Amino acid sequence: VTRARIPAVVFVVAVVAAVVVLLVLALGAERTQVFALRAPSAQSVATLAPGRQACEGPVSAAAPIHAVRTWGAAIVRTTVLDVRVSSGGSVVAAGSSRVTGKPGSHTTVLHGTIRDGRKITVCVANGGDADYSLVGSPSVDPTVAMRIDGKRSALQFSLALLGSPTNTLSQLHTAFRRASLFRPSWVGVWTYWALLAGLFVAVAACGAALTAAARTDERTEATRPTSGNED
Amino acid sequence: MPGGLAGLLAAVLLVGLAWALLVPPWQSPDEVAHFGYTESLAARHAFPGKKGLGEISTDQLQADSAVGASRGAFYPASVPPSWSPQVFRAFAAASPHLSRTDGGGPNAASTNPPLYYLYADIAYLADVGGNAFGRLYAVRIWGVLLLELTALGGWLLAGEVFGRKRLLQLVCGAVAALLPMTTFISTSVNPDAMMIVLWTWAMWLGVRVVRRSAQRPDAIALGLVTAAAVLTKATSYALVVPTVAALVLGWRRGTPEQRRAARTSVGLGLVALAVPILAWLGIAVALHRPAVNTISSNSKATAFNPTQFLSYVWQFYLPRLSFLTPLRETAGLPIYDVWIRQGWGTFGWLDVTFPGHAYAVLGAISAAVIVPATFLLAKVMNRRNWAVAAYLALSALALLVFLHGADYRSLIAGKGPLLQGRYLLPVVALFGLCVAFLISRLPVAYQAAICGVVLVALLVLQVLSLSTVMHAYYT
Repeated sequence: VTRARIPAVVFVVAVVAAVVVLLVLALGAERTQVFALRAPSAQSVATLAPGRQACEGPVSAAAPIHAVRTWGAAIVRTTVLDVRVSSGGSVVAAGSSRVTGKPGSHTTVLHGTIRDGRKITVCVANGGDADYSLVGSPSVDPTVAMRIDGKRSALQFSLALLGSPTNTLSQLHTAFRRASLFRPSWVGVWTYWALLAGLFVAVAACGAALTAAARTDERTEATRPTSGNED
Repeated sequence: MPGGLAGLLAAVLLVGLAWALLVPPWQSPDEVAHFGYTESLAARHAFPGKKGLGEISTDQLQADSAVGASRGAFYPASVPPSWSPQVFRAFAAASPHLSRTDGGGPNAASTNPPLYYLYADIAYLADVGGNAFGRLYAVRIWGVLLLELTALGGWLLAGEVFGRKRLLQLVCGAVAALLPMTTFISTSVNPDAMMIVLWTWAMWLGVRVVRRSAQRPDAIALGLVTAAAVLTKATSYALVVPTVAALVLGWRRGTPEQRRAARTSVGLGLVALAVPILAWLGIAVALHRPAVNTISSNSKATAFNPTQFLSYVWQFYLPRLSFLTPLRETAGLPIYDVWIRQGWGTFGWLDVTFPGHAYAVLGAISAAVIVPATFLLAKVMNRRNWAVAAYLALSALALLVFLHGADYRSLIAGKGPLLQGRYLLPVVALFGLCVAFLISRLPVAYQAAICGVVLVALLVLQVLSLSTVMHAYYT
């Protein structure tokens, strides 16, 4: 390997290592949102004492539902969220998750899958022994109602419904389809695939730039008369 | 084109386009207001800020509402952008009938100088027949040119500092343009995009002026670029100090004969600096517009107190001592929360972030570059290069003093903290210079290989940043 080729070899090795690391990260399983109520997680909309529940619906998703995400925090100490999803008066899926006092989102995996298009109501009950603050905003969708212990509220809790876990690579098409909306007319899903390919071209361009710069420096070094330190 | 530059510009172009098109509409700091300013100039042929008019036009308001931009600002997880094709089609059908001329009222950006918005209007007008989203993304894509100029500015700056060493120029240009916050901000509708370019080019020209004894074209160009920066954002008044210093240093470095010739150059440089600024100030006064942004105070406001200001600066960079009155509102140490976290990468409305541990790594990288570069610089400082080092240090210091002064004034005015990490981006090329300088101190045999590793690291960071944005809004 000549001196001029060393940077190219190191660059290729670094790129391969980076691709492996990125692929490992991309293969981690994550859930895609199949529905979002789009109520901002901005304020506490209900404090659920142990045993109390808040329900929200009707909502439906365009893809099968496997998990429910809500926003909030346990007050003082950890508690348990019991999530029940009902349709036509009967519970069709349920799940539980432990929540801490750290404010944020909580994902509850459901036992049972809900098929796409089905009208459902999501109930969140405090199954632990500490209060739970449920977070949301004033109502953003008049067709959806939040009820606390059966009583309708003018507020709504933030709610997202999630699909089954998939890796980042298999989420790309959905992400690109969503990204291509609210864009100039010439932008489509193809644009994002082209941009992804463009990132690979960018890597090649950087490699070419490195090789060209190293060669130029080497030529300059070779033609420069020997002199003292330039510092 | 010099070896390596074409490849760098090609890579920056592709990465810039990805950013411009991936970030959802108006999900960048104050982009709603900046687009409103752009539209006011293009559609109303008037500055925004007129009382009685809407903050933004009906067209922009409806577009914002359709995609859920303002509702989702700060809450991307619970309020992602609309994914409904029906809503988009309904907006597109209504768009031709919506007014673009009823905006132009006071908004967060309306007191800014106009240069960036005039630049943005070129792209706005290029898609004037389309809808609001077409015009927004036209301006964003137009910002990729600014990103390219930042890369070129970093390249030129390193060339002036280190001589024509292409590897070091490549690294400096790449660091300046490919840090995720630079790409994100440069491809947003935001005057900071132009600030980054103009400060980078001013630093390049400033080094030329210092090194080459204030030759006339350099001095005039430095004055004009500094004036352009001031006409872009008032923060750039801070650049006037190092620019004047560069002219003085350049004049001083010459032989007595050169000094006589340089006197005219320095004078012309100062004229090139002063005339556009004074012209803008005159226009602003004539139009009853604020010539510089001011921080209004509320009833809790207190007077500027030098001791308290020093206490504020201490608390920004070091843990608060028990006897100091608290003067910050960030949970952690501000240097970390603001300069490191937000400087490396917090996207959207500062609400799309990497996992917490990633910032610890990025903070360690910052320290591993800046601290040894500073020590090594002190070691190699000599009569030939002290003026260049002093000029560049003064550029960074002037920006920091200006920003901290504004932040402190905002705090004592009861307005809360003002600083954001992106405000450091005008001197991002200095970080590139630090990286290049460290590489220059390595044995020659390793330099190219380390440059390659730096480039790959930047690209990996880009992919992780774009992936973070994609997950935040679209999955």
